[in-house]
Amino acid sequence: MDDDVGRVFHALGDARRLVILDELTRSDGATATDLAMRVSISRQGVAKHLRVLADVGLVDSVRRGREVLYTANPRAMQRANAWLERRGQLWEQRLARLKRQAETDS
Amino acid sequence: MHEPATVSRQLVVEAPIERLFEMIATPGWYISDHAGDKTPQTIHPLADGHVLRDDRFGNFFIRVLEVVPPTRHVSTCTYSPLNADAVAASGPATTIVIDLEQRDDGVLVTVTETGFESMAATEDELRAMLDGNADGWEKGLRWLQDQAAHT
Repeated sequence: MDDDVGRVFHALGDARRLVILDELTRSDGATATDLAMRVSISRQGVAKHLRVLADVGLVDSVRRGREVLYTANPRAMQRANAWLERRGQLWEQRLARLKRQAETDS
Repeated sequence: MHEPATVSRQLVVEAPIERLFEMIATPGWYISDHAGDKTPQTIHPLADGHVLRDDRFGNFFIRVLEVVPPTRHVSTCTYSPLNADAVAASGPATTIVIDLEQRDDGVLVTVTETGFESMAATEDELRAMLDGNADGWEKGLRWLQDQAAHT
């Protein structure tokens, strides 16, 4: 689902998920139990947010013995950033048109 | 720490700040195609905003949140790709903040758009937003024309 940029923004629109994602991007990976201790959210809460992040491709998971290790996947974030950059370019065009019109009128 | 998704751009314009404010306070001033060409638009004032109907791009519900002439204008814009009677006044919207600052070399115009996380749109819908909704509608109209030609 990492091709769905809108859902990536939606997943990023929760402060607790941002904290979890920050923790994962700063490490080589962590289990839900590790994360719960680091971010002061219940393990059940962390597991729920990890599912949302994984659904949109922001987080990958791999089973390691009895544990599941979660890692941040930068590709979905890169796609969202690329979308924001194009959105910024659209505003550049709009501002350039505003400038042309305003300076022509003045 | 990741920040919420934000787009921000600035430009200096050599024009009176009052004139610029008048322009950016016009509902939907930014809705046009890539070339800047506008299609006919009608604006219907409502108690809490405006409905802008664009003959080509569809309908937009614009809610004005803050107006501080001539330096600040804050609004939200909800795009409605449905028919003219189904403008989504309460749907997901981005917030557009425009600040004007008088400087020696002109007026610094700063646009900041936030609220993308409120949208759970598909990538196609987001791409349509990126294109000022032009490409999405053009594709749709072409598809309709193709369908009509084969029926």
